[in-house]
Amino acid sequence: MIKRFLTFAAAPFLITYLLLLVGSSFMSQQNLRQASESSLRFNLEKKAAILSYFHSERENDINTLARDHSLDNFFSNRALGMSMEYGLRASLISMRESFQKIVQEKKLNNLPIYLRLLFTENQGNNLIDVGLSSGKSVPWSNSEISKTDRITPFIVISGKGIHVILTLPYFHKGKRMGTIIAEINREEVMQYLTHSQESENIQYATIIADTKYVINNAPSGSPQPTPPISATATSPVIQMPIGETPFILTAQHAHRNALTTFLTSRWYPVSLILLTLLALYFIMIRSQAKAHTMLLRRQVEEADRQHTLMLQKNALLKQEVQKRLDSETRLQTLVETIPDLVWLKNPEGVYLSCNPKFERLYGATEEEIIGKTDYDFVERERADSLRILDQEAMDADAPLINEETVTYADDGHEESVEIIRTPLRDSEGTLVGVLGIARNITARKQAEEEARYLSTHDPLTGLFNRRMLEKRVIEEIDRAERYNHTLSIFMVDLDHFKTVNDTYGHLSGDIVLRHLAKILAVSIRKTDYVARYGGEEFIVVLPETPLTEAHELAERLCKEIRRYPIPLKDGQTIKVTASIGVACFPEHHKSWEGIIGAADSAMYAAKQAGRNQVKIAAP
Amino acid sequence: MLETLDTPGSTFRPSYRLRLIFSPVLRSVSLCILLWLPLCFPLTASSQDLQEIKNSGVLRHLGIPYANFITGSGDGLNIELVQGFASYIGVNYLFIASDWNTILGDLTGRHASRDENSARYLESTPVKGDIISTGMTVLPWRQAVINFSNPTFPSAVWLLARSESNLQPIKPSGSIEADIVAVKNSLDGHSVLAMENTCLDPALYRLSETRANIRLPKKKIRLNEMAPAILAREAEATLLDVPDALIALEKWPGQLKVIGPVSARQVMGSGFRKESPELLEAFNMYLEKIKRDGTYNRIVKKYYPTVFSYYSDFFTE
Repeated sequence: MIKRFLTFAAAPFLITYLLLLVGSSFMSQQNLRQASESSLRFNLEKKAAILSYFHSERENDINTLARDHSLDNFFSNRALGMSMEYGLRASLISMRESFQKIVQEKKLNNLPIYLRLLFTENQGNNLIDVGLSSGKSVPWSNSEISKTDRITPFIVISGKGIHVILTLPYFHKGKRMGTIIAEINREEVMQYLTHSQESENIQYATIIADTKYVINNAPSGSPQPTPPISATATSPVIQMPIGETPFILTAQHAHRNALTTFLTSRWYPVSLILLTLLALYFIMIRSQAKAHTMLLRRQVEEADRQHTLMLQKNALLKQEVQKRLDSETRLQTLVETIPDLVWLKNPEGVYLSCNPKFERLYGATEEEIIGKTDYDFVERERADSLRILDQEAMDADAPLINEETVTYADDGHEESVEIIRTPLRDSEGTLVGVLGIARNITARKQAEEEARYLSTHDPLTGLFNRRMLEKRVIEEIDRAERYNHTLSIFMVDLDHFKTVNDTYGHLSGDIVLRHLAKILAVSIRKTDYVARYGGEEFIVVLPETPLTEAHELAERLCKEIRRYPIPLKDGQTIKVTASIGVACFPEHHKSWEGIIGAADSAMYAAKQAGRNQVKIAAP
Repeated sequence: MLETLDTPGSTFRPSYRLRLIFSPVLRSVSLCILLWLPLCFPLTASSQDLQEIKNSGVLRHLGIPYANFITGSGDGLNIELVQGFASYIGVNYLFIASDWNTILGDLTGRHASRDENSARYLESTPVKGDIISTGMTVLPWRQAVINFSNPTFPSAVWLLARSESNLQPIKPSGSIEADIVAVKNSLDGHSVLAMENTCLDPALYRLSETRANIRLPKKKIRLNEMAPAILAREAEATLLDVPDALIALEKWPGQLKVIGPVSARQVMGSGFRKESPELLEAFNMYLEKIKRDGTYNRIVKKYYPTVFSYYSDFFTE
């Protein structure tokens, strides 16, 4: 309803608009006519000014030539009586070059301005004649030209055409010597100067005053008077004189084209109204179609936007999935390749996962282990202890570390392991199970045992070392003192051991030492013990043994040592002897150092006495 | 020290007095002396031919400021000609200024002067240049001393007089010999300016046989100062070569007039030591080349536009 009302209300405005349009078109038509005439007059004035300037430039050319010193030279030299053969010809050449220079240099749009340039003497002979038409007979009357006393343009109409010439009388020392005559290239130069641009649509004509001859576009050959351009109602002819020349320039619009005719006719405003109505209708239809198109376009754009967003989310989701897959793969690889036992139980002790190493422990696959407890694989007591350790870790809510020895079900070997049980909680803090990791520490344990052994034993002979010996002897002295017992000690030293080393080598020396250690070890009682004191010195400790018994034992030991040959490498054998010193507690001394010192002194006494014998320490 | 020598190829003849005293024996001795003389005056620096000049890397051009041949302002027809030749043989160019009395000695290492149609050799002098190119007219006595290139420029000698002189230009007869006679006949009682040892040497044209009052310049002047000299009334008329005469007519229009010729057609050329045949040959080849390609005519038109047209037969042949 509102739309219809608006339509009716808009009608008067539209009619008013159309009336204004028709009125303004009429005014425009009037202005166009006036502007056209003004334009024609302006262009005519411009062309006339150009032609006038062109004409004055030609006058300048001729005047400049008349002032050239070569003319003065020639006539001066001739007046002095010089002959052409001897000097005068040079002046004439110089004069001719001045004329030639004007003809060659003066051009317009690359067209020669002068067809011909002459110096005609009073008698009528041409002293100089240069240019395109030089050498031909002149179409003008020299007698008429010789009457002029200043620069004068001439129009010569002959049977060969229209000639435009410019003449200037030449005087030397007040006497007229001849006339400079310049013939203008009428057909080409003036045609170029009055050429009408296509856009101007103007026809120019240069006519000779008081005649009907048109000179700018007259054809070559015999000239015919061209009728003046006639004016019409729509195309007036405008005339304008060209400076001080005998020429008049005329101009007229060549023809009105269809567009101009239409623009100035009554059909122009009518068609303008019809076109306006058609344009309004077209705009309305186009506006509706455009609105519909805009709606569709927005829907398509929204769908495209949603599609793009979905694609972006999909891409992000794929990236996230790939990241997690990669992470899981890495974790799985880590768990499977780790040399430790790894398992995961829920709080109730049911296995949720384990690695291949753990499968070997129970001799079952992961699928067989998952869903079962330790009670399904080990004795009840062992399973109870494992359950207690898991529970301790969960109760402490912290990693629990302990060492155990486990036996593998697949091959029965044992390993010492260090187990870390770590309770696991999810992101909300709920306990979800216990992660167990067991690391093989068997090698570490063995290294510890070996270090402990080496701290008390001699690595070559396997006997107690000096440190262990001191500890034991001190303990035995304390016991003997406490229970009032005796304690005897042998200091055994191999005779000539340095010679053995030097003769058979240090490896053979080691064999001898190990052999002596074995003899000592097997020769003593169970309660006795022997130690390597240093180098080739050994000490035998005999708890609760009096000196006499010890002396006998020492003699027997000395005999045993020298009795058996010791096999060396390569089938060789060697016999050795030893010197033995015997000391006794408390008879010889009550301290460890004192008894050792006494036994050592006795051993040296045996060495001094000839070796291979036993000596008892001095009281 | 002054002696007259008969140089091979020249038209010189010993004087009559000397011929009388020459016995056959003396002739033999003289011949030996003649053969050895060049060795007695070694041309140390002058014995340069084309290859030596190429090795030295410079061509020394002997010239005298004269008309538009050598303007004295650093350019001129002969300056451009020799500069082009130096470039043609691939060496640098050096201009050495000289004068008409010493220029032959500056080239050959020994001064010389005209003696009839031959030369008289004078004292030795250091060699200063390798080529003379200065608008020098080819004359027989000069040809006895040096070799000339192919003609480079046409010339002739005219008699010019001040415009107010009583001397009147001759009427050409169509015969150059008759015209020369007519000019000489008109000289009776008139003063004529000339210059020895140049192409304007009065003896060359036997002016002494006329009754002219021969005047030599009072002070040392250049050839192109001959015309101003008669305008300054040093004499009524002067000998002048054609190129210079045409320039003088343009320079002082109405003040000078050409009476007529005192010589037949002459030519100018560039001069070379007789010991430099290869350099001369190279120059002739260069001259032929620039005449063919139009370079030479362009240079002539630049410095002598009127002469180019006046002697168009020479330049367009």
